[in-house]
Amino acid sequence: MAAAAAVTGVLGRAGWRLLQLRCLPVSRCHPPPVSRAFRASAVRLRSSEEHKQQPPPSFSEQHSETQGTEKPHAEPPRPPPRYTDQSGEEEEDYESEEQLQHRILTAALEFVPAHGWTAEAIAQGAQSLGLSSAAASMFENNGSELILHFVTQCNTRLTHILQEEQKLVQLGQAEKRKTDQFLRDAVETRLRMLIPYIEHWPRALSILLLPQNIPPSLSLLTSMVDEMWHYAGDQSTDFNWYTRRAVLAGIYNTTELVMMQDSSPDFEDTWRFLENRINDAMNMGHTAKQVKSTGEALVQGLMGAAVTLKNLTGLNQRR
Amino acid sequence: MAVRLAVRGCGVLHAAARRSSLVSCRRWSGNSADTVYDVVVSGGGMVGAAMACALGHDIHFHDKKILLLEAGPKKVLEKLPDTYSNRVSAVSPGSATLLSSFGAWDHICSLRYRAFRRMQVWDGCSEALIMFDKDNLDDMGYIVENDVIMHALTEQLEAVSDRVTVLYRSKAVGYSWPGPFSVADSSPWVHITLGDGSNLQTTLLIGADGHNSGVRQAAGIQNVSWNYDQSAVVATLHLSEATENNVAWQRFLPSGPIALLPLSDTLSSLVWSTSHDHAAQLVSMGEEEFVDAVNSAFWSDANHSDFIGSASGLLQYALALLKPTRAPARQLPPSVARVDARSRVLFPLGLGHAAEYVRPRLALVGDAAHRVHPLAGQGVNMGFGDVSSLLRHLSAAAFDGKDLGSLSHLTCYETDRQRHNTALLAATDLLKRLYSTGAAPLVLLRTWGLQVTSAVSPLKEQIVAFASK
Repeated sequence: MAAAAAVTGVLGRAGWRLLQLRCLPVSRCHPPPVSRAFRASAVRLRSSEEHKQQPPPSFSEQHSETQGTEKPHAEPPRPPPRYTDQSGEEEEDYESEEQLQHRILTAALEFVPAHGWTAEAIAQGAQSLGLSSAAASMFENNGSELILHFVTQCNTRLTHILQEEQKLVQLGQAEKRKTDQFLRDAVETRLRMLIPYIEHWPRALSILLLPQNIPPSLSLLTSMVDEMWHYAGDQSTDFNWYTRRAVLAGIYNTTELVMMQDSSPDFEDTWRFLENRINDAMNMGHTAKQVKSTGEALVQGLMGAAVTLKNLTGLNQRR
Repeated sequence: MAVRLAVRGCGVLHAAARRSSLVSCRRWSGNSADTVYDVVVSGGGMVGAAMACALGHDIHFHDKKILLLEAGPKKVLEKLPDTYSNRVSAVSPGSATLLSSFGAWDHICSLRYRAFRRMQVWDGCSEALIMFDKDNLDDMGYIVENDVIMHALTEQLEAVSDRVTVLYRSKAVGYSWPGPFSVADSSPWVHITLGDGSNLQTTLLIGADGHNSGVRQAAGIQNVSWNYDQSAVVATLHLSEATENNVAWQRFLPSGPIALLPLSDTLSSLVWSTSHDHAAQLVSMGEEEFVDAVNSAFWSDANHSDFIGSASGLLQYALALLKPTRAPARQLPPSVARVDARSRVLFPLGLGHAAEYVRPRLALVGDAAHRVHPLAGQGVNMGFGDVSSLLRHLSAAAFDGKDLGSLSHLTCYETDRQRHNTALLAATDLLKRLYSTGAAPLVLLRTWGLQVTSAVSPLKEQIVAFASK
């Protein structure tokens, strides 16, 4: 009797598992929202890349490989696989989900100074587009997607500005700046984009540090730093590539933090801090070279001393 | 015990691996017509010529063939010039013994030299002074012009021309050593290629080619070297009045030591080590200005400070209480009246130390192995010391019938000389650095140190004995 009850219990549990398995295909259609949002912003980035005249040659993102083969002129972007329409047919100017999300988030940015990086701002943004405020439920509750979208947009704007400046230099209409001045201007330009949202930015920074947001935010940071160095003219192919980007990422992050605390007019203290850090970084390169040469001389001296010591003690006799 | 053997074993393997990887292993199946010399000395300066001469006069080398390679022309000194040369060396009694062992010293005595009996060394920044002399005021050393030494050595080389061949104007351009193991059809001797294309073979190559030694570089021996930020200015000076002139004077200024070495009753040789800029100025300034500069360097007490003066006086008083002997009578250096025209020359200074003096079939002597600051006057004496030590070892090896290029006796030479030379190099470098500053703490340290050394006579005697070897 008890055994039969146990068997039915096991069978019942097994049956429940089978039911769950059957349910799985339904849920798999909707991947976790954060990675989808990241892919969304990545797709946005890719589509905005297509609108550029020349795609930048070196790009640390993985999808750069696909860039090289695309035509320079703007084309309607290939719609990514859509999950809403199962029929397989497309209507003309049918907006994809990602495009819709992009529009909502862009509109939501206007309301961020008032409501912060919250679902409330997204709801207001959706409403301003004439959509229902329930559209905010498409996104994460803590506003991560909004922040990532904003960061991506800022990076795109920065790349655009750097490209324009490069064109001017190539045409001879502007002076080519030295590396440290160039980097200073680039970081300042990028940080100035935060000024309208500076009140709520500290919260945004802390949201970006949540475990699920770290991969995308780190990737955005590295790609921004790579862009800056690329336009500054870095062509290194050795370990310097890594050290330079790491150093600039450090400078950017610390300057951003200083900016949060800065209350001076037009953030003068921040820009002075930035200047000092960049000078430190430049000097570090020189010091590293000197240390290396001193280290080499020291090693040579030590080896000579070791051999001499061997000779002095008579350990050279049995050769 | 086992540990020591293991260490030695490792040392052997390591050394063999190192040697084989560093030494160039060009195999040479040379003609049998090439004579195989027993010893080739590359470089015919004072030390190289002394080496060749010493080997030539050694009785165990009576049947051996020795070759001396000199890149310059033969310098013949028919008549001793009236003007003294500005390059002189302070030859120690030990070096004089070596030179007299093969008869060169007699030639020097017949030409000219000056013995000095006392050396006064004092500081430019304080009153501290130390006086070195030997018991009974024996000769402490001899000031001999380099040309005179070279002439004496050349004469003695000609005396043994049946054993020693000297090739002038022949510069060696390439050396190749045999590999660590013998291969059929390969020659086990060292091959030397000369500038004119001829080849030589030898069982032992002695490198005596100066501080930029080509032999040392070809062998890949590591050389620990650095340049001092000083150049030495040499000149021949006329004293304002004739004196007995048997004292060598040296004063340590913060810019570098200045030394006056006696040449005759009225002449002295100047060696002034100072910064590159100052040295260039001294060489190019007018004669009157130069004489004034020399005199003020010896006499002026512009760098003295009251604090140091009182501190040194304090220690002097304390020492006088402990050891009531009379303080050394302070002598005043002679003043200079004129400088010989065109006798002012400068040359840069540096330190060099070869980590190894020997390799299989290779030995380094003289400046090729060590280069030192002239403040102690020991450069050529260390070279002559190398010569006498190597001669002793090679002579014993030749008597035993050993292969002259074998490492067994060469390493004995290396240990023997490195013990002496490394200590002297380190001491000279330390003194140079200690006396290159005018900073009060270091001046105080060295003032007191000098006073204590001066008071402790056994220490002084040890120093004199070490320098006379």
